[in-house]
Amino acid sequence: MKTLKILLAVTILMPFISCQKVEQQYINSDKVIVEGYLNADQKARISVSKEITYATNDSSEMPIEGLEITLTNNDISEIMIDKGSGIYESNTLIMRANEKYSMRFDYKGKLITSETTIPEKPKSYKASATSIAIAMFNPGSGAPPSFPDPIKLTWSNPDSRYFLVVVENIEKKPVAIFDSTRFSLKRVFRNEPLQTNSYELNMRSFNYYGTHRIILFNLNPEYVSLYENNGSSSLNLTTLPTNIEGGLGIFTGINSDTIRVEVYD
Amino acid sequence: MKKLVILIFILSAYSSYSQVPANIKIDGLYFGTLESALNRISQKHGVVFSFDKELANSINIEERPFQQSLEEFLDKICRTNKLKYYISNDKVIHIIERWENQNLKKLDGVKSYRGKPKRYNITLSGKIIDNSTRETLPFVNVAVKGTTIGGATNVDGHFTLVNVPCDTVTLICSYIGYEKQTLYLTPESPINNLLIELNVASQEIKEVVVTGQKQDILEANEKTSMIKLTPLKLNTLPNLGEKDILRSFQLMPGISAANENSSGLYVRGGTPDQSLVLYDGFTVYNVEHLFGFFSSFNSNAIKDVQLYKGGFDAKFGGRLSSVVEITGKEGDRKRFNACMDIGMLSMNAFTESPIGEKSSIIISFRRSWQSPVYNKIFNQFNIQSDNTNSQEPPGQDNNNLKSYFYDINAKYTYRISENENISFSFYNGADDLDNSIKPRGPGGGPGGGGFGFRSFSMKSTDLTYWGNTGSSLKWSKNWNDKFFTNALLSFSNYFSKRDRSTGGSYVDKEGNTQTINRGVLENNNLLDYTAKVDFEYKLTSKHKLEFGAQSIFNSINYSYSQNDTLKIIDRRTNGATLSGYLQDKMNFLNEKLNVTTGLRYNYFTNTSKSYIEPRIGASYQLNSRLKFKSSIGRYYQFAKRVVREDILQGSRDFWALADGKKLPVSSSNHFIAGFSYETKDFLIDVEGYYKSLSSLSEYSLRFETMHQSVSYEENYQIGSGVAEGIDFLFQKKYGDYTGWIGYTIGRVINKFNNYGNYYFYASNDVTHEFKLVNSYKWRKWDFSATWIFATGKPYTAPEGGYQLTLLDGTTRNYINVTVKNGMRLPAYHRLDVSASYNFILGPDSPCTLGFSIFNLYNRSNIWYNEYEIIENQIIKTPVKFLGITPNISLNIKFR
Repeated sequence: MKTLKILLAVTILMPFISCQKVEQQYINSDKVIVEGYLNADQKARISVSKEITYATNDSSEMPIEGLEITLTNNDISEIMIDKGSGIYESNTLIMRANEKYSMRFDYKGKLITSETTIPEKPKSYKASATSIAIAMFNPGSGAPPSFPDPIKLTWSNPDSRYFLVVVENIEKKPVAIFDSTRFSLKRVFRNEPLQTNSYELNMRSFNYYGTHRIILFNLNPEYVSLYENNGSSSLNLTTLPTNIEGGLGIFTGINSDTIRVEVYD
Repeated sequence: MKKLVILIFILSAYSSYSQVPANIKIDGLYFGTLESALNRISQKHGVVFSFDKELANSINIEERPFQQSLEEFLDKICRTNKLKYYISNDKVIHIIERWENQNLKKLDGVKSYRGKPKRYNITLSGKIIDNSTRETLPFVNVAVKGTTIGGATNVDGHFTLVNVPCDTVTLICSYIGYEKQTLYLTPESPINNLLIELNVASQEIKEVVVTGQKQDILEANEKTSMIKLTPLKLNTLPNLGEKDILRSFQLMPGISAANENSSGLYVRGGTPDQSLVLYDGFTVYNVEHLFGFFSSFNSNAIKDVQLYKGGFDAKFGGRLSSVVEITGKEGDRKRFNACMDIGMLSMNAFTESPIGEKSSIIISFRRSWQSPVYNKIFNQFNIQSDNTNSQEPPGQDNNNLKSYFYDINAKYTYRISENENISFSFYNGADDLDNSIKPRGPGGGPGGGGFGFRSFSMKSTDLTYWGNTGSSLKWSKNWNDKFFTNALLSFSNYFSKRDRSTGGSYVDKEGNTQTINRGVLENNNLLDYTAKVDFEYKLTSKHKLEFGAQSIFNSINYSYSQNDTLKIIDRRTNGATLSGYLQDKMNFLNEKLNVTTGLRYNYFTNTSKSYIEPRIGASYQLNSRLKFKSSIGRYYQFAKRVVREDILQGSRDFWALADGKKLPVSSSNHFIAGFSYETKDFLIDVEGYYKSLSSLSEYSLRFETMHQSVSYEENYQIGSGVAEGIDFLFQKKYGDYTGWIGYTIGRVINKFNNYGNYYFYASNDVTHEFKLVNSYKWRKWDFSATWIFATGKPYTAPEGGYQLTLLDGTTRNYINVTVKNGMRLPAYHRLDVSASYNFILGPDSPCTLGFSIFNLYNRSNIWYNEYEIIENQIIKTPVKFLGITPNISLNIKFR
C-alpha cells in the first residue's frame, strides 16, 4: 500500500515537470486593409482602411487618410492623390497590359507593399447570340418556366488562366422575370473564377429583362485566392490569403471585355 | 457380452473411431423418451451408451424397427433429432448433439480435489465456448490459480498452457461479460482438448438471484494500454438511440469523449485516422454514420472488441495512434435465434443459425428511420443556410429532405475440424443524405401552360453518399498445442460521393432533350486488398514466438469536378505496403517479468523505402496486486485521411497515400509507463504516455491559384507535435453497483511552419477530462448514469475582419486570425442517465425496455463559434451541441 501511495504521488506530480511553451492569442489592432483593382487603360484607384478588430465596440468607418502612397512602374514613381475617405488615385500613370506596378507606403512605422501585373485583354470573346427570350414566370401559377436555348460565351484561353464572367443588368428601372415580391432579386450574380474557355448563360443567369453587360475579366492568381474557402466559423479559420506585404487585402491588375445581351419576354 | 468388431481405424489428430456392431438387430416398438429406448437396447444387447440424460429425456421417439441394424436405427434417430454418435476405444457408443465435437472433453470439476496428483509438468489445451450459443470465445483469460501461469484463447477460442505443475490445479477462466468460471482438475481430468463453457453474466431474469461475481462493461488491465469490451452489457449504458461500441470506449480515460459530434477515436491525442480499425481482419476506413454521430458497427453482430491505446504489438502496423480489433460473431451453433431492437434512431434485426453440423451463419441488418432524434441530430448539421446564394429559384421548397443510414453484417463459418476453420465475413454500410430541392408545383405536368415545352424537370441537387464495403476470408488452424496459423485475404472499399449541383432537363420545341447542369461533384474511392498470414509458436511456457507477413495494396481515387464536365482534380494513387514482423514474448524471474520484443519491417512502394519499427514492452508483477508496465515503440503511417470540417458545405474527407515529398510518411514514437493495483473488487490503473509525432499533415483547402493543373498535395502543411499525459482509472469491478472514475490530464501540441514558428494546442487537445460511470442492478432493473467533464477545446479566434468588394459588386467577409487555436471554448460537461427493465414476453423471448436521457440537465455545450461582420463589428454566434434528448428502446429475442 505504501508503494502505491508513493506511485500515485509521483504520477500526480509528473504533469508539472515537462513543459514546452505554447503560443496564446493576442490582439494587434493596427492592421491595414488595401483594396485595389487596377483596370487596364485606366488610372489606378485603391482604398485603404483599418481592420475591424474583434471584441471592441468601435464600429466607426475606418478609412485611413493622409497616407503617402508611392506607385511605381519600371523607372517611373509617383505619389498617389489622396481623394479622401481612404481613396487614392494615380496622378498620371495609366495602367497598361503586361506592365508591372508596385505600391508602397508607411503606416505607423510599418512598411506596406505589394505588386501586380496587368493581364491582357481577353481574346476572341464571343457570344452565340446577343438576345434571349425568357417568358415571365409566376411560381404560384403552377405552370413551368420556359427554357430558352442558352447563350454560349467563348474566349481564347490557351494558358489555362482564370476568367470571371459577370452578368450585370444596366436598366434604370428593370422589370423582374420572376415574382419579386417573395424574393429579393439581385442585378448581379456572384460567380467563381473559371479556368475554362467557355460559359453558358441560361434562364438562371438573369433575374431581370432589359440590357445586360456580360463582362469577361482576365484575372491574376491573387484575385482568385479571394475565393479561397476561408470559413467564418472557429472550426476552420485559417490565415488569410493576401498579396499585401505587411497588411491584408488585394492589389491586383484586371483586364476585361464586354458583350451586351438583351433579355426580352 | 457380444464382441464388438473393430473394422477400421480412422485416424485423426487425436482419437480413433470404431464401428457399430453389425450383428445387432433391433425389433419391436420403441415409444417414449430416447433415454428409455437406449436403456432398453443396452439391457437387451449389452451395448454401452453414453449420453446426456437431460438431453435424452427431452427427446421423444416413436419407432417400429423390424430386424433393423443398430447402425441404421441410430442413424435415423440421430438424423431426425440433430444428434450424432461415435464409438470410443472402450467400445462405448456416445450420443451427442450434432454441433458437439467428440474430441473435446467437457471439464466440469466443481469441487477442489484434495488427493495427490498423478501427472506433473503437464500441458493443458482446449477450447472455451459460450454455453448458450456454443460460439468460441476469443481472448478469454485462462489462469492457473496460485501461479503466474496463464494465457488467453486465440481468435478461434483455443488455449494452451504449458508447464502446468500438476493435474490437481485450479483453472480460472474470465471473460468480460461472462461469469467467471473456476474449474478444479483431478488426476482423472482430461488435460487436452478440454471444453470449457462460460455463461453470459446474468442480465435476463432468473428465478434465483445469482450471487456470483458480476463482470463489468469494459475491462482495462490485461495488457499495457489495452481495453476490452464485449457488447453484451452495452445496453445498460445510457445511449442516444443506439448502443455504440466506439462511444462506449470514449468513457474510458485516454479516449476523448468531448467530441459529441464524432464517434471516432481520439486516442491519447491522436486523430481518428491514426486508429487502425480491423473488423474480422479487414480495415475499415470510415467508421462514421450520420455525420459521425454513430459508429458504423452494429453491436449485435460483434463478439469482442479490443482497443490498444498505444504501444501495440508488432502484428499491427500502418497507424500512429491506436488499434481497434473487432471480432464478429460466428452465429449460434446450437439453434436458430432472432433478435430485434427498436430505438428512437434505428431498427436493428439479426438472425443466427447453425447450418448442418459444421457451419453457422449470422446476418444482421440495421437501418435508421426518421425519428425526432434522428431529425434533431440531422438538423444540427444543417442549421446553416447559405446566405450568399441569391440564385434560389422561386417556387421551390426544401421540403423533401430525406436521409438515412444502414448497415449489413454477415458471417459464415465452416469448421473443417475443431482445430481448423474457415470463415467469410461481409460488411456493407452507407449513409445517404439528400438535401435536394425539387420543384414544389406540379412541374412535370403535360401542356406546360402555353410555354411550348412538352415536359421539364429542374432541381437543385445536394447528395452526400458515403460508406464502406468490406469482406474477409480467413483460414485458421491449430496444428498442435504449440503451433497456430492464421491466413487472411481481405478487401475493403471506402466510397464517398458528393453532388452539389443545380440542373435539369427539358424537351425543347424541336423535341430534343436538353440538359443543364452546374455545380460541384466530388468522388472519393478507396480500395484495399490485403493478404496476410500470422503464425504463433509456443516454444515453452516462458517463450512464445509470433511472426507473419502482410501485403496491402491501396488504390485511391479522388476527383473533383465542376459543371458536369470539367474535372479540376482527378487524382489517382496506387501503392503497396509490404510488411513482415517477428515478436518474441518471454517470461523471466519466476514468470514475474514479462518481456515482449518485436520488430516490424515495412517496404512502401511509393517512396521505395524501408521503414523499421522496433517495439518493446515489459510488465513486472511485484505481487498479486501490484503490476508495473511499460512500452516503447515506433510507428509509421502511410495512408492518411484528410478531413475538412465544413459546416456550410458538409464535411469533405478523402484518403491519400503518402508520396514521401509533399505528403510524407508520418511517424511516431510511443513511451508508455504505468502501474496497476488490483484487488478482487477494485482496480487502480495509472499510465503515463509521451508520443512524439513527426511529418504530420494537415490539409488546408485553398482555391488553387496555380495556372496549370491543380495538385492537391500543394495544400498539405507539414508539421510535428507532441502528445503527452496520464490516464487514471479507478474501477469497482464486482457487485450490484459497479462503475469507474476515469481521469486524463494531457496535452497535444503541434507546430506547423506555415502557421508560424510556434507551438500551438492541437484542435483535439483536452487538458482535463473526467468521466464518472455508475451502474446499479436492482431486481429486474439496470440503472446507469455517466457524467463527463472536459476542458474546452482550443479554437482559433479572429483578431479582426474586413470586407472586400469583389468584381461583381458583391461584398465578402474576411476574418483574420493571428495565433492558431489561441483561445479555448468553455468547459464541456454532460450527464446521461438510463434505466432498463428486463422482462419475459414468452418462454423463449427475453425482452429489455430501455429509457435513457442524454444531457439530463440540458447543458449548452458549445461546438464552435460562427463569425459575421455586421456594420463594421464582428458578431460571434456560438453553435451548440445537443440539448436534453430522451430516448426509448425495445429489445426482443426469439428462439
